[in-house]
Amino acid sequence: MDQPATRAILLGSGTPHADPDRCGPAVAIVAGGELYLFDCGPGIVRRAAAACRAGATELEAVRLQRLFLTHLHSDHTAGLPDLLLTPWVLGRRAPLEVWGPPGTAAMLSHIQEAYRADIRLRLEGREPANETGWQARPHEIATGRVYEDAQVAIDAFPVRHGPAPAFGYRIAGRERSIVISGDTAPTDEIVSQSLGCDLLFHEVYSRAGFARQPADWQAYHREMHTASDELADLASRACPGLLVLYHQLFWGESEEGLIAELRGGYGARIASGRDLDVY
Amino acid sequence: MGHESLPDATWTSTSGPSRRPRARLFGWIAAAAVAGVLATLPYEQSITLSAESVLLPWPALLVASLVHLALVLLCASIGMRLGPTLGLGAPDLIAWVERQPHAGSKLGRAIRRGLLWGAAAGIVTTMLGAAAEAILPLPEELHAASWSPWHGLLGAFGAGINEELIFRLGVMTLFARLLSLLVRRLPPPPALIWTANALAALGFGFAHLPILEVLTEVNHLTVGLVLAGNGLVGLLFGWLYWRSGLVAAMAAHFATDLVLKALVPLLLPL
Ligand SMILES: [Zn+2]
Ligand SMILES: [Zn+2]
Repeated sequence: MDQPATRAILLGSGTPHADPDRCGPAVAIVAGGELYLFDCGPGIVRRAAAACRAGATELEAVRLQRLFLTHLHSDHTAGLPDLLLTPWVLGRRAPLEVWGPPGTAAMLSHIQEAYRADIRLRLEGREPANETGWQARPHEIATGRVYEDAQVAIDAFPVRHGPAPAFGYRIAGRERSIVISGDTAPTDEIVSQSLGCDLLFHEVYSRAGFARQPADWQAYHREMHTASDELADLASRACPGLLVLYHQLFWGESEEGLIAELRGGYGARIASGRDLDVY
Repeated sequence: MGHESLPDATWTSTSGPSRRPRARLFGWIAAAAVAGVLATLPYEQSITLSAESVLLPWPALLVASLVHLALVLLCASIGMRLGPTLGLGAPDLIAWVERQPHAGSKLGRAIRRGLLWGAAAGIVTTMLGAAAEAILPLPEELHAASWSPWHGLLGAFGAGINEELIFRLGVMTLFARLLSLLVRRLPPPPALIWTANALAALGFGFAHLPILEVLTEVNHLTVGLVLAGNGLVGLLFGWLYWRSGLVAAMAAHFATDLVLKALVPLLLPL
């Protein structure tokens, strides 16, 4: 099968739950030999290595150098020290470029401070480490165009995920457009951003599982995340070429059960994303 | 039991991380801009006095100062909004208000670097100016204006802050964004940053033409000298803004003006 010029590899489809089959949220977009990572959940570097082994050589460790963060919650950023340091140890020379909400630069500088002794040892000891690969270049973004090169144009848009700034991303490749929701409650903005896109990665929680949650967690998720029926409604309005569920909160529900919940209100193509799926 | 509370009070703000320090930073910038406007007044009045023999009446001075301040704040907001995706803006100052590790010592290094480059630029400019005076047929009343070194010192302080907020944080950043829209590259490649720097430096040069009228006769030669002189130091400040941060550019501008406006009049009185 011919691969599309712009493709997405789901490196991590998970949530804060320590599901051994699902790493923390991370999506890799590959376009024209270039790589763009979205979110940095725990396990990202190993999953990238697995994708590389499976043939996506763009995800070779030394080529992991561009990251876009949707927000700074730990399930989306716990892989950051790994992504900053491991590829450097493996030979990456370029500093890690990180786009994200205000607070991104502080997070990166505190990570570097936490690992200062290790960085020093590698730089000053006998290890043939380069001088630049451990550095980070943060770009603290607002909404609108945040990145553009010959392969993609990337726009950040606001999502509803608590008081701290959080973004979704729209990636316009040469002949495909991809939208990544990040964590969010349903909004009209996401519908307009993903109107007619080819791929919509959207977070979701199971309505049936939700009913079994304690009241305080229900209140939290109602405000911060998207239920299956809400997503069905949202997707019916946005009409993506393919809706990919990720960051699925099953709460005991099966994958089939979750898709069935969505089928109640949405008839078009759905995939329940799993780690290392390629779209 | 170890860390029971969050390590930094700024993170417990109800509006989420990092909004409060940023608002505080803009407050600092506004305060610096007000101080800058006030500091330039005695120097500007000295020049006006030597040229016109009268001072501006205070209502006119107040209006002019408020317009000046509004322009500085507008430019600062543009730069703070557009800077981050361009690799410009004031990340060094944000790091400082957020108390990021080593932010203070980085700022200190940037200031030292700026002061050195700026002082060097001031000395070179003075020498080139003297050479131009010796070689070129410049009009007579080149030294018509005089001011006290103290006014020069204050003027250097004010210009270091406000002209950098306008021309580097505002104008250069805006040019960089416009050029990046034109060539569809974000962040813009270095050649584009240099183009934005050159355009801002040119604007910086033009902004210094009105004072020429006060100091001497306006002709091709004097206009050319003002544009070249200010354009070149403007390029230096733009390069520092891009590579070492806004504060480095401010320090350099202050040091250059200190040499030109205070030390030269002090050491080489007429
Ligand atoms: Zn999450
Ligand atoms: Zn979250």
